[in-house]
This record gives sequence, C-alpha cells and structure tokens, in this order.
Amino acid sequence: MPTIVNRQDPRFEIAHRGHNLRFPSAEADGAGRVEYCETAEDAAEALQKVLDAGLRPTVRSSGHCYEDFVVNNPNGAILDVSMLNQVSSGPGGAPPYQVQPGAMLGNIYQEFYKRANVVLPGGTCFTVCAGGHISGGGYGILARLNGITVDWLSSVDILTVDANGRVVPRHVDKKHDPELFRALRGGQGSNFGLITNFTFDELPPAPSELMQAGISFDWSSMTPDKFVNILMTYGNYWEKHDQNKETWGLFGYMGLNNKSSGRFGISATFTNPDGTVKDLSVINDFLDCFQKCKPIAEAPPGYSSHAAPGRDRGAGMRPPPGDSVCYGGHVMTKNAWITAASDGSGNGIGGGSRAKYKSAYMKKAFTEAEALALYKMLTDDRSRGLIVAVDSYGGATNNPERASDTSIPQRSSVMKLQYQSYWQDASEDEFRLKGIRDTFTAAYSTPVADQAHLGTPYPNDHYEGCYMNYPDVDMTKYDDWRDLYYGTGELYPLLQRVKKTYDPHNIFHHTMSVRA
Amino acid sequence: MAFSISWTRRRFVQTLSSLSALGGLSPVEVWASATGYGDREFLPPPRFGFVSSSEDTVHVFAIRRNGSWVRIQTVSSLSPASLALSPDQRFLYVANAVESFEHRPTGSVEAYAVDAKTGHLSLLNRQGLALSATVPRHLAISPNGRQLAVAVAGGAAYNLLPLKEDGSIGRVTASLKQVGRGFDHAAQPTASPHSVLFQGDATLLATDMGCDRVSSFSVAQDGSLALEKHQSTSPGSGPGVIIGHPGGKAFFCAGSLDPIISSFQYRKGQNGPSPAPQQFRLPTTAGGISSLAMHRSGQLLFAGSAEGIWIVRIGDSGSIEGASRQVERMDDITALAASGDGTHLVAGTLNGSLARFDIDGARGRILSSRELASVVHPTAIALKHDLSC
Repeated sequence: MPTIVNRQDPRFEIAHRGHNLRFPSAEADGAGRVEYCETAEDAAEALQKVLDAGLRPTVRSSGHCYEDFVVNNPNGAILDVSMLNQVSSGPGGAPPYQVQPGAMLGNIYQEFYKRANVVLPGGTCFTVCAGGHISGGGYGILARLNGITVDWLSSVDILTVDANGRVVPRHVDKKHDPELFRALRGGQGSNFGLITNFTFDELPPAPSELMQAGISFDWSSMTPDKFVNILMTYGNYWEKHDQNKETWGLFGYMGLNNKSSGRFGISATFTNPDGTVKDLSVINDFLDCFQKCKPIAEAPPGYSSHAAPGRDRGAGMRPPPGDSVCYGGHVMTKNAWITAASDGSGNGIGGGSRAKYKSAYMKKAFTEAEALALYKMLTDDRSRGLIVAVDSYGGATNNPERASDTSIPQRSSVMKLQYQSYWQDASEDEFRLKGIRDTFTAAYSTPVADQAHLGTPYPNDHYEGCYMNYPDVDMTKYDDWRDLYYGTGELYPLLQRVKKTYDPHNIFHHTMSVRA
Repeated sequence: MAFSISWTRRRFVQTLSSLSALGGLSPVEVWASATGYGDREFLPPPRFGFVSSSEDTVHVFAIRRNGSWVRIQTVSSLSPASLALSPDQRFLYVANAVESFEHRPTGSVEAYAVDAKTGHLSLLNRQGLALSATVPRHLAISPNGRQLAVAVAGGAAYNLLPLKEDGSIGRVTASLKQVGRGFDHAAQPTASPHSVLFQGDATLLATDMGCDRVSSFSVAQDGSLALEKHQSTSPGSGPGVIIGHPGGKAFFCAGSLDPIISSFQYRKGQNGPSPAPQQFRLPTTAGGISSLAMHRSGQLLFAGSAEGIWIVRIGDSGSIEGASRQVERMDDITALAASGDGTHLVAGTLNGSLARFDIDGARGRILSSRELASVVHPTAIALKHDLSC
C-alpha cells in the first residue's frame, strides 16, 4: 500500500520538491501529496485512486528532472517510485537483466557487475534513477563504445490509462504494442504512463579497467586564438574518429567554465575494446593533440571542474605559478571499472540547488565562429557560474538502424553539449537565466546555424537538435521546437499516434509532453 | 430566512455575502440566494450587452431605451467562448478557448472591468489555466463573487481560480481531470466538460458532454474542488448547457447531441436534487440543443437549436410541462440570453445575426423580433443591468 505524505506531514517540505530548487515555482504550484510506492501493485493502486479523484499524477524516480515537469503539479499527486529499485538477473547472473525505475545508476552498475560482469551504458551521476534516465535515452561514458541505454532495451513494463479511465498494466516489446515500446526507447515514460520495470535480454560486458586523465587550461593566459584552437582540436578529434572503432573506448568531457573560475578543462576516460587499459595509445594520441595548446598536466590540489553546485568557481582558484607548461607524459589515473563507476556524485534526498539547463547535439567539430562566440560569452560576467559541458558522442551510438527502432533520432552527432548553471539564491534567478540564455543564443547564431531558426541547434548539416532528457522549456517559444528534440521525420507523428492510443485522456503530461 | 418580494436589489447584493454565515437554509433558499434573484422583483431593462465572437473579439453594445443596440467598443480577445458577469456586474470574465498560453499547453481566462456609466471594458488581467487545460468552453462565477469555475473541453478538466477584490483573476487553485467516454464512442471518445453552474458558493454543478453525466463538486474555502457525485444522463445525449431555476426549484441541462432537456428538481426534505431527473425530448430531429436561457419568472425555459428557439413551460415544482417551437429556423443558434426584466431574449446565430425577441411572459409566447446587429459567429452573450435601481 502506498505511503502518502500530505501537506501536514513533516516530510512534505522535502518530499514535494526535486533537486532543482527553482520548482515548484510558487507554493500554489506544488503538489498536494506525494505517494511513495514500493511495488508495481502499489503504483497501480495509487494511480487509479489519483485518477478517480480527478487529480493529475506526475511520476518521479530520483527527482532529477531539470524542469518543473514533476513538481509543478498544483494540488496534484506525485507518485514516487524510488522504492521500486530492484536490480536483478536470471540465475547465476544469466540474462534477462531487469531494472526497476527507482534503481540508482550507481547501484545498477554494482549489481550488474557483481551478478554478471555486464554494464548498462548509462550516465555518471550515481543517484540518477533508471525511470527517467533510461526511458529518455540515457547515455554515459560508454556511449561511443556500447551505444546508449535504450539501444539495449528489450521490453518495458508500464501502467497506462485506457479510454475508460482504468489503469492497465502492459508488458511491451517489439512484438507486443511495438509502437509503444519504440516510444519508450527514448521518448520518455512521462509521456505515456508509469514505468515499473525495464528488461534487457543482453548487455555488454563491463570493462575491467578504466584510465582517467585530465588537463586544464589557464584562463589568465587564454587568448581567443588559443581558445579557438582548443575547441577546434577537441571537436576535430571526435569528428575525425567517429567511425574509428579503435577509439570507441575513449570518452571525452570538456567543461567550459566562465573565466572567473580560473581555468577550464578536458577529462578523458578510456578502456580498450577488450576492457583493459593495456594499450594507451588512443588516449595518449588524444591528449597529445592538445600539447600545442599548453595545458596544465596536473591541476593544483583541490581543483575540480565538477565543483559542487552553488560554489563560486572563482573563489580560491588561482593559477599555478609560472606559465602553463606541458609536463611531458600525461598524468593518468587507473581504476578498476567498478570503482570509477561507483564514484558517487549527485544528490540523495533533499539538498539540491537552483539550476537551468540547455542542450545541443553537434554533428561536426566546432567552427572558429562558434568557438569565438563561446569565448566572448565565457569571458563576460554575464555567464558567471555557467558550465558548458561538451561530451564526446557518436561511435557505436551512431548506428542508423537505431534511429528507426528507438525514439532517439540523433544518430550522427559527435558531440553532445549540456549547458548548466547552478546557484542558491532566488534573487539571482534573472541574472543566471539571462546568462545561460544569452550564451546559448550566441552559440547558435553563427553562419552554420539554420538561418531560419537562429538561436537554436535546429537540425541541419552541423547540428542535430536537443536532448529531451535535458529539457528546456525556453525552446517552446519556437513554433518548431519539437523538431529540435524529435527531428523532422516520422518520429513525432509516431509519438503522437502512440499518445492518442495509449494515453487518450492525456493523463501523463507536462509543458513539453507529446500532444496527440 | 424568507425573501420578501419587496426587497430591493441593492439590499440583496449587500447581504449576499453574509448568506453563507446563515445556517439551516433549505436547498431552495440557498439556490435562490445563489442566483441573486429568488422571489424578487424583476430587474430593470439591461443597459449594456456584451457579445463574444469567433473573430477573436468581444463587442460592447449600449442598449437604448427603444431597445436598439449600438456598438460602442470592440476589444480583442483570443477565441472567446464564454462570458460571465460578476454578481455585482462590475466585472466581465471571458474564457479563451485556446490551446496555448505563454507557450504552455493550456487555455486562459480574462478579466475586464466594466465602466458603470459607459459599459466600456478595460482588461485587468489574463490568467493561464492548469497545464493541459486546453480549450476552455464555459465559465461561471460563485454567488459571493470570489471563485471562477471553468469547464475545460479540450483538456477534459474543471479548473477553479480565485477572484481578487479588484476583479482580477488569481492562479488556479484546483484542477480536476475527467476521464471516461460516452455511449457513442465515436462521437464521445473522451470526457468533454461542457458547462458549469454554482449552486451556492460551496457546490459546483457541471455537465460532461463526453461522458453523458452531470457532476457535483464541493468547493472548499481554500479553493479546492472535490467530487461529490456523478449522475448519468440519457446515453448519447451529451449533456451541455446547464442553467438554474431562479426560484431554486431545479436546474436544467440540455443534450448537445440529443435534444433532451433534463430537469433535476429539489424536493422538500431531500438533500440535493432528485436522483431521477425528468427527461423531456424536444420534438425535433435537428440534433442537440446549443443554448438555454431562463425567463425571470422561472416559468419559461428557452432552448436554442439548429431549428430555432423552443419555449419550454416549467411548472411550479420545476418540472417540464411541454414545449413548442416559437421561432422558425434562423440558422443555428449559437448564443442565447434572457433579459432580467423578463421582456425579451437576445439570440445570436451562426450566420452572424444578433436578434431580439420580445416575450409575452404571461402567455409564454414570443411576440415579435427584430435585428439588433451583426456579429460574426457570436459565441456568448451577457447582459448588464443596473443593479443600483
């Protein structure tokens, strides 16, 4: 039986919020209650009661939704499935591998490692849960090597609501409700129902070792030319090596911070296709590309491009004495895969900060104009606190067949960007939001952008739109915003068809949900 | 408390807000107080008419002593589907039947101040409804003027919003989603809330065209809504317009798919309306009923359809005693309003005609008609009377 936390409950203050403390936007926008469900039966019972009461249900796994899709639910009910968190396999670690929506990524990696030495190629945030992550096409450092989570998905268990307003449990796969199954492979469960389980008939073997390296660049000695050089070098590498399978075990992350932070950096993780790090030529070749950019091979103690949200990145960060030098061999850290995968980051219950996010897929390397646009904004106080995270992408993910049997159409990109801004004080909202918006607009207003859709990475030769698991309601101001997330082909009409069939009453909706 | 027939309107409006503090009122008395009429004198003739149009406009007309209508103002308003005046008639509220407001998938409502002397409208604010509450169809104001209820057709929901002292509309406090479908799955594939009607300040009645039902909801002081009960209507009738008897004896709803008028009567000693409504089918094959208006006397109910205007005779208990078609086909009736002085009806038609029909209340007949103005596809009509008289 679900546990109900209503407004009178002392847990309500935390329970009705997610990690983005901007939401609910006002107390009047907050849900009226939270129902913690421990089993799929709990979830079905809770959902039916909420429907019968005429309330709007929103579903939460970990509370990491970037926008207000879950917690802005005036007087409605949040169905929290974080306690549906089982991870299992067949006997002796045999397939199938099952993950419930409330399972945290860090636990998933550990469970599958222990049971079967396999890996779900998902994200790096330990406390992000499977529900939103997988159904929205979650990816991580193994994306180039193994593709993304939904590429491996075999079936989904989901509660939908039929035309009579009754909850219907469904087990969907390629043979049973195939269009709904495809929709759930990246089209997000929040559009169609309440997911209670994911099944994978096969998962790739877990790497045994991981090599991690990082280099950083000093803002104090940075010039536009150097900056352009770094970004173009980074992008050119991924574009050039997208279909070079020998490099697919390499994943790069470039964190571009505002100048006030002191430096920005590139980190790389690598494992060979055999799961070992015996041959480091690929990662060395990658890092060598940047030597002409004179990175700092070893960051000063305490520096991390992943500093805790809310901290002023400029405080206490000083460049090392002297000029940036190359220290010859690259400093790397070797870890067992599972150690690296279990390195928790992200928040548990409570905590969080105010935040805003945007995204973009890039099919080609940075142009000089793009790099200069970012340089201009990142050296401007307007973007203080902003991080532009540039993940490598592509490789095994860029399998064109997956565009036709999943709902992630972006199968030509070599980089995936996530713009992030974090702060604590609501009085900074206007400043922070303007900063991230202006930077994003500037980045996608260069000659390579679709001129009819300036200010957005509208799909064209250079861009492949945006990622719905990094939702951004700002995009709804554009009439064609759905093209950004779903492409310009047959995917969105399919999702609309699925919506009409499986959620005829539009029970599951939010600001950016599929409209039948 | 009994209502003296000699009460003036001014005294009634002043005491309206204190009625909720009185206990022990029978449903009839509550109803009578809710409508603001009860067993009272008729209102003076209306001074201003407001007509919404599918052309994204609301027209303001001054009504001359000779009954003619003179257009004095036209305001822009997106897809105005329903109009409602506040009980003190100082404010006009409009439902915008749109699918998007401020880039969010929702409808909206507007508040206008009405100049007491000139009738001119001034926009106070436009407020979004709850997420997914797209295409609102109808709105109603609570008798105490503090709540605005909205029937949302597209998003299949009922929304409740507070009205502020200055007449502007606050943010949604309640949204109740409706699910289900009607007898005719093709014509009624999903719930489709059609109209709302306050019964006192604490009860909201509502029709759902998609689910063949009339529902009652309790309205709490904190702005929440809770379902009391659903009551099924004739299968496939698609209940639409709902209207109350001025004497509080009953309320009526009309089938938008089937020309059936249902009378839900209140009987002495019974809590709530009769569970078995009287069903009266109009002798027409022209489809459902698009609009209803009630004569001040409570003895005549006017129903608009594709065939014209029907007069339905209402008995002392609120029962339906018969009907006759009084106005021949004049194109689909899209809006209907009865004057508070009981002298005439105003009807709008699909072809843009706005016409007045003089009524013989005693005999229950329409005497004459005249064209008032042209308005492209009128969607709603509201008549403002001078309550200071």
